[in-house]
Amino acid sequence: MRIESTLLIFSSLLFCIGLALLLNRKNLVHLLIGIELMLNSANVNLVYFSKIHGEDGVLLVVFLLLIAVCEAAVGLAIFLRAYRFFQSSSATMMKNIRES
Amino acid sequence: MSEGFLFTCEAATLLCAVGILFSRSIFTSTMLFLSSCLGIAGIFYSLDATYLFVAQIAVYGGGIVVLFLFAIMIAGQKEQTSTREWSLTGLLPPALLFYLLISRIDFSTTSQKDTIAYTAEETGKIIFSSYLFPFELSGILLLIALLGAILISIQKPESHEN
Repeated sequence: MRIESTLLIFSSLLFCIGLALLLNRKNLVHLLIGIELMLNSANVNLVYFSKIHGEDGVLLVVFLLLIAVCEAAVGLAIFLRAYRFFQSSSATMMKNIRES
Repeated sequence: MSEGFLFTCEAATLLCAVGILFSRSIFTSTMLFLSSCLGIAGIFYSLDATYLFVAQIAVYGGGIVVLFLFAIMIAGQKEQTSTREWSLTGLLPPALLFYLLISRIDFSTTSQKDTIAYTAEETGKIIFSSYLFPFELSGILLLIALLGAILISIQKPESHEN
């Protein structure tokens, strides 16, 4: 087995760990960390494929980093708003949100 | 770059990610997330993507983790979970997905020797020649996201709490 296939196994394992974080943990910061881990695993795949095939996958990763920053900023703003309203950082509190 | 460095980075990243899944304190999780991001930066370095190596450290270590720490500072660390949050039913879908992904990997492809190494110089040339317009657009997107974050988190004076 060569070095390349270990990278593919690594990135799929990292993606699954991020998904497990999303499905299991209840804290909103944990959910954001899970989303970031999934984005990171996609980035590793893109860099690896751009190294193999010589396409501009690296540039896509640059834009994905920007998207990750935007997502973290907006997500944490929503987290702060929800914490101020519910006085709790658990995501299960937010299942009561309804439009009145 | 030696393959041992790549393996070390992969193992460290995966260990830190698993640690996030099972840690009880949110602060520990954030620190483990920082170390896993540094491990991914090492992977980028060993894949000859030096610009992404620096950008990953700057964006995650200097931006996102600091934002997480800021949120923890605001929200407090009092809600440490005493019981375990993960369950077998919650771990089953990721395990199934992992099996599906692994079964689709084609292990026979090998890298060609004459590919471009995306060093910082090469990446900068590409960004400022053929990808200039998307790059400027992404700057506008970042500005809009920051304004939106301020608008969401600002506390209106007339609204009363709960």
